[in-house]
Amino acid sequence: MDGETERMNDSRLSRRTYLKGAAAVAGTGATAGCALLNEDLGQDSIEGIPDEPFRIVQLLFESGPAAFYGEQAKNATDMLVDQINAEGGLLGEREIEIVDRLDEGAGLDSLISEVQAIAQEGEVDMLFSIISSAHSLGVAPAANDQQMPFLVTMPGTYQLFEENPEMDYVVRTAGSNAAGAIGAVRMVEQMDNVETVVTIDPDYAWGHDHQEMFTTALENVRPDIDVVESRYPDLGETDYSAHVSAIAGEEPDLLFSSLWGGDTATFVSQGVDGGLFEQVGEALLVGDTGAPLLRELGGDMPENVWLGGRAGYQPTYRYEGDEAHQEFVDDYYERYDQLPGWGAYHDWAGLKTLQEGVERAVSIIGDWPTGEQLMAAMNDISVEMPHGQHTMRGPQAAAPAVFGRPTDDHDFPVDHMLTSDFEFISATEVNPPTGVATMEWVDDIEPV
Amino acid sequence: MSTRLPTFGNVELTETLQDWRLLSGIVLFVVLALYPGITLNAYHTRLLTWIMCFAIAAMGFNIVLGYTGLLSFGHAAFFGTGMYTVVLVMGQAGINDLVVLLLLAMIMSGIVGAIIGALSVKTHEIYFALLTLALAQLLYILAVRDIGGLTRGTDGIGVSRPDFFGIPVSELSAQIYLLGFYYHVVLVALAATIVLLWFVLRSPFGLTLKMIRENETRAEMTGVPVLRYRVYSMILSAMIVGLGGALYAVLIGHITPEYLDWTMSGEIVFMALLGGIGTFFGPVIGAGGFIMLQELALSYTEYWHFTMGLVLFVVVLTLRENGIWGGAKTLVEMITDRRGEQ
Repeated sequence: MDGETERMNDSRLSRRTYLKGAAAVAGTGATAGCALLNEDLGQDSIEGIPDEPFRIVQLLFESGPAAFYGEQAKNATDMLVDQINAEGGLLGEREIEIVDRLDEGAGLDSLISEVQAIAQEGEVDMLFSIISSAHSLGVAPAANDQQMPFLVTMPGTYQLFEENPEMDYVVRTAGSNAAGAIGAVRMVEQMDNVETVVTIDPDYAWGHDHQEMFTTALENVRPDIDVVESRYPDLGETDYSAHVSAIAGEEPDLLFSSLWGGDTATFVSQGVDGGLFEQVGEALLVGDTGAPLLRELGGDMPENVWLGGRAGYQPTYRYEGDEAHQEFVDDYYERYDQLPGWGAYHDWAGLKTLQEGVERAVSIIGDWPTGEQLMAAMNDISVEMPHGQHTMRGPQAAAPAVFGRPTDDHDFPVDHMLTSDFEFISATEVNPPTGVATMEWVDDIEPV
Repeated sequence: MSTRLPTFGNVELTETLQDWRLLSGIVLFVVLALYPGITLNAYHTRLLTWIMCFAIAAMGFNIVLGYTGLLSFGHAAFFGTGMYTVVLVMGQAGINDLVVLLLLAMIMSGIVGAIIGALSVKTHEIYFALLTLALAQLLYILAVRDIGGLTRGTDGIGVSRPDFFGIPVSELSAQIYLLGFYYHVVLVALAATIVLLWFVLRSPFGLTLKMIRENETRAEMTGVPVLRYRVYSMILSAMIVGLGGALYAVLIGHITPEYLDWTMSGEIVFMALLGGIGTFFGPVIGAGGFIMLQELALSYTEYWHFTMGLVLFVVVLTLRENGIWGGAKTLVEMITDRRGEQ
């Protein structure tokens, strides 16, 4: 049995679960397809395939600490758009053009203002990406008001569609933050030697949401485990020594964290220096960590750590058996001399969903879809990603959770650790059923 | 008996009405009021609405800095209070009338202004700036921590569109709501603020504030209760800034604690400085200049932070408290004088 097959067997996605999921996707897909034909989605129609390119404006952080994430997304988008265009574009007939990029560092005021200008000029077909959850909560309803299609690729806030359920012009191809937090709970659920837990999360909504979901769900599925302390360092904290000492003093069996980007790197690095990981049994880092983090840490990453979160966005995950994944990782490495991180994978999922949505809409309508029709076509759709079928439930992706162990033992041409020995937890186990509010579901979550 | 306006001394009403400043103000108001209807340009209308909201806030801020001589770094507290009052009253109390919301926002901001003012007016200069900053940061932390589950932390809360005196304008499309209704509400609010402050700041109250600014000891010796007047100026300032925040909340549609943060206070200070704190209209020009500069810099360069910093540095260094508006006035005077000489 080779390593890949072994990993597949280790994963919790059984063939039956997969087939059930695929059947559900096919069913909802057919329903949505009928909806595209039956519903009057706007009076406008577009004849044939337009000659001009499909124009996209990308929103991401180009300045500030979150540019760590933005750069990966920008790199992946540039690379994938070049590849799609080399084959003629969307449907092989309409090229994609990234006409502008808006820096989220400018703040919500400027972003909304720019979205209005873009919608008014009518020269752009779709908004794409965005990183900040708070920005997505402001920009998405504004784009929807302007009837400006917006494919949201990265933010995790579960509130996006729960607060704004009627957005016909918005879809999100990233899984919500529930996948990471509840995925971690599902991991702990299977651990025998855990009695005490300490959490450390960034002091803003992302961190507080993760902490709340993790501790509430853990109490339900493993009431024998105590969360003995919860810590909230500032976003962009540079000195974690007080946190490291306090956590080490507790000697918890498990450390849970949703720190992300440069914050994880700083925390882990200072934690290693302070001997933290010798004092904790296991650590679960769910903050969209991946290859760029391991690159930044060099050899500093301890081995009693699980890295992962929403979706299997790690270069080593099912690399061998997945040709598309291999191509993505190899091309990214060749072009940028580093391996792709979470930001890159999120935008890959976004562009794949766009391609699939266009194909589906044109196959049903016969002509190029209007903005509303295109967004409707991306609802209840499914695309192949490294973790299997990446499924949209309505306008929102339901991602699985994937965690791996850091290891030096890999064949990639990089001199840092990567991840292996993956654990896969299916989307149905880490996302609320359709129509159920995330926190209500978390409050009543049951053991698997 | 003649109608005498308190701020114009012996000038009669009819003469006042013939004042070129008033006439040009009326013309500008009419032009601005017609702008959305003529151009149907939603982007420009939104930009103007955004500028007007901050113009109101910057004018409110200038009561404390320009007229009372106190540099506050805590005005985000009043701006944010105005914003959060709108969203919380709409969400928790179900009140959906814009005018009621604006009034409540002004009252709440005024109360916060009275508290912060009472706790800080005994201090001066840097101590006053730091104390106001610290007190305002307390509100910021409350919003970030989502105390009582009201503010939803850093992700913030969405704001729906309010109605107007029972007329269901919120049912209009977003574009028509802005172009045909909300822009005009903000324009009227700005005009009302300008008129109100014009009179208030030229009234005995306003002159007393100026007296405190110029010579606090002398004011005290003449029997002016300096501390009480400083608190009054904080309350008035907070109410006006809160009005700007409340109007902006509906425009932006989503509120996060960033509007309570010291960086927001810094932006308001910058707007006032850019336009000119030593002038009445300076803050209005400053708000427009700041926002348009940011939008232009964002459109043309990815180094927009640097561009903004450079322009603000040059303006403040060369024009100082006169800012753009004071500088422009000086320039016009110089040209007029030269023509007179010729």
